[in-house]
Amino acid sequence: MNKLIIFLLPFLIFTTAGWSGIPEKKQLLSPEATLQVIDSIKGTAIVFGEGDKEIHTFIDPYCSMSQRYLSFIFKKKKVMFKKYKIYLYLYELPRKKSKEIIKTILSSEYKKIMLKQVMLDKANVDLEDNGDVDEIIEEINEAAEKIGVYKRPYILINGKVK
Amino acid sequence: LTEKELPYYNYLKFLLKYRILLLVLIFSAIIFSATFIKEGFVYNDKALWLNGSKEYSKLLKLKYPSLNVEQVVADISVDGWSTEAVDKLKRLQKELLEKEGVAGVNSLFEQKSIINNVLNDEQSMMEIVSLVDEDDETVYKAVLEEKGKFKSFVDGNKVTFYLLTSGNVDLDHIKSSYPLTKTQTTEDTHFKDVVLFSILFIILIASFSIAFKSILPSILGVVFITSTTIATVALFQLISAVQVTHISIVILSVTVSVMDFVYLYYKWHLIQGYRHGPIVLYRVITKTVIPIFWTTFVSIVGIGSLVFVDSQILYSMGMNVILSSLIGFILSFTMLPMMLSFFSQKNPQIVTKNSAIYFARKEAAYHKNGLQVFILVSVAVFIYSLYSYLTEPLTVSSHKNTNQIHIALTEEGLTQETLLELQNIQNLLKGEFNAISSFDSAYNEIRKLYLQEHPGEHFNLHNVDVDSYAFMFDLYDITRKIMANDHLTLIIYLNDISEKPKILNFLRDESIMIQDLSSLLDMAKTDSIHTLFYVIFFTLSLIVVAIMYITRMAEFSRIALVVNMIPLIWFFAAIMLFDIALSTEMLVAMIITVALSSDATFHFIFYYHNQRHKPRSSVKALESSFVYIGTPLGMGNIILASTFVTLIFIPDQTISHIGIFSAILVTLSLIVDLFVLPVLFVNRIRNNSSVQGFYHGQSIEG
Repeated sequence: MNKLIIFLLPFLIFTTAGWSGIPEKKQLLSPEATLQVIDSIKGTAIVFGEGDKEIHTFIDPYCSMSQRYLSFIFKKKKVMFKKYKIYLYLYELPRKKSKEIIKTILSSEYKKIMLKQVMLDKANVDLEDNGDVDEIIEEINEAAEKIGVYKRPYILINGKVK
Repeated sequence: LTEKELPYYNYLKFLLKYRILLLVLIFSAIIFSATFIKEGFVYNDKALWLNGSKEYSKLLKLKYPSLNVEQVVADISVDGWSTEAVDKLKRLQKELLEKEGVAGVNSLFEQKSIINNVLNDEQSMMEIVSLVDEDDETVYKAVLEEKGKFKSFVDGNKVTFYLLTSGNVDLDHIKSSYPLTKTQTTEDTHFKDVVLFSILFIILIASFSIAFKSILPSILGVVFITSTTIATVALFQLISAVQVTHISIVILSVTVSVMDFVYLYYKWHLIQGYRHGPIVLYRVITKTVIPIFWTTFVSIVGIGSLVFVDSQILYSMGMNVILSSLIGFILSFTMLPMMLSFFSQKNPQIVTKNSAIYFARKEAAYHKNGLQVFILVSVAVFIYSLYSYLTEPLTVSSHKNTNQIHIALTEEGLTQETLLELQNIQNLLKGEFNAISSFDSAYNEIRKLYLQEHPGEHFNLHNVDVDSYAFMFDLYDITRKIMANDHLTLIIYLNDISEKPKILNFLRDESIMIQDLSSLLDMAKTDSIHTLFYVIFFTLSLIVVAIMYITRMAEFSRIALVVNMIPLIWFFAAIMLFDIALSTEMLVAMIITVALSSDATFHFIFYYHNQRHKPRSSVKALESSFVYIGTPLGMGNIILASTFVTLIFIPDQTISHIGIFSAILVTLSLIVDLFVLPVLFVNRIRNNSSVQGFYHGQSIEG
């Protein structure tokens, strides 16, 4: 009986995880391949800073951890923006239902200001449904799935998740 | 010999003929030079020790950041360790950080912990949190749970903040709910100058009046000593490469001139009991010029050789001894005889004459065993101090509580290579010294982070992506604590402060750059003590050679060596035994002792040697030496010792330490000069009938 349980356990865990929709907690691509994918979506990011080192992060505007991350960056913005170029990719967490706000931010003329208002000032902004950004959102989603983005914030440095 | 052929006769005649003109010229020159003296003497010796020292120069050459580590200790006895105390201490830290010139504070609040902030499977972030961002309750519990980790910062009711400063910071006027103890306080040097000079003035006037039962020596003494000191300080400020004038320069100058004055004035005072007119001054000059010349020569060539040392403090001491000895000598044989020529003393009192003869007779009948025991004990003390010096390093740290050493790498940046260097240094130190309790470094932080991120995995620096950790350090504002001007730093915490000199030596041997000024200061002091030993050895050799030259007798040279060495040996043994930290004050005291002791030796030996050429017994020669040399020697040393004792009450550590050390050494030196030197004369010279030209007379037993 014991032997049967031991045999079945990994199978049960695997299938349970698959059914519950929890992404596998590991980076699916090698750092080099990740960087290639990232290169293809760079244009979709909201970028802060002018430093030499690139930091790529997938965030959800309503995710409190992503908001915390952004607040740390802005707390030290003088150093951070001088040393780093921070690419922020808006990638929805299903449970946060943030698709509309992502659309609103990405379609805004002042993306950076809007992002700060939503994430740092926690301001209520009018949601706008602009179909133009669906393509961008799709691009980000595809890239995130390829890489295996399983959490927010998902910080990539030199192609490796932090 | 005709009058004109007598040595110094024409010189004295010239002095007396133009005395008014010459005195006006000398006083004008001194007043003129006094106007050039820059106000305010330096009491703090930190900069003087550091400037010119090897390790500090290396640091400067690399334009490297150096840090002052100042300690502020809060006594929280009122509340004890509690959440209220945490709140008040947090406010104190904020206050300290807002002080101008404070680059950072290392305290319990700066201690970091790594947390994996997980909200759920999809929302998480690894964070580095400092205790300063935690609530009071968390900080309170953290310290209670891990007392060992916070021992450097919280020890019972004492909470220590280490301030990292880039220059002088005014630590006064800090608002705090608790009483604070600081390593640095703002000094009111003007007040101290006034108190110091007032004490010197009063003590000298009083002691000269008491010793000679006349007001004349007080007036002449103060004029002479003030003139010598003014000229020395002015000349020092004019020609010295060191721009700051340490207060010890004044004290050394006063000491040298007091002894010159006492020898000359005493001679002049005494001779007037049986001679009058210019012959008195003539005899004063002929009797004192040779020993004073040789003392000056030994001081200038011996101790003065310190000017060739790179260290600013030793250079200052050397230059100071050269100038004060030279000016003292010049004024002793120009200004002083000219001033004395205006006065005469009727019935000069020599209150100590009978006691001097009594002492001489007592000492002539000394117990041989007593001398042997004393010499044997001194040899034992010498062996002890030599052994201690070779086996245990000297205590050099003035701040015994500074249990940290800050080092920085010479290479710039946070890279795999620099981290590897840090790892190697830490492993090397940990393997070598048990006294090291912990390290604070980028390497340690990365290791902790890695193990938190990859539980159960083996940490290997080669597998680490340095950029990602550098980003985290920047994100959580830790970079400024692990780097200084883009150089990685390492803080070494010690649980046994006595091992610090060994660790510093090790770091220096491994060419590792030391960054905190407290450690640099310790190393500069260690270097200087070696130099000082050579200089003292050289000076003692000079004394031996000069005595040999004057007396042509090796026995006198041996006696000179023994009596000059004994006070230093005893003093050094006391330093080793009581673990007293090396300081400028101590150097000043040792230099004063060498100068005074050689002065006494030259006068005593010169006089005794001359007396033995006359048809006198050794006891008679000794009696006479005691009256003419022993008395002014005792007088001068007692005046100096009492002056130094009063310096203890001046509210400044430097001055009070000079006072304590010098008073002890001067007393030791006086005891040896009055009780050992004469006995050695009788013991070693008395029966030496093989030496031609000596009259040995009737023996004491006969």
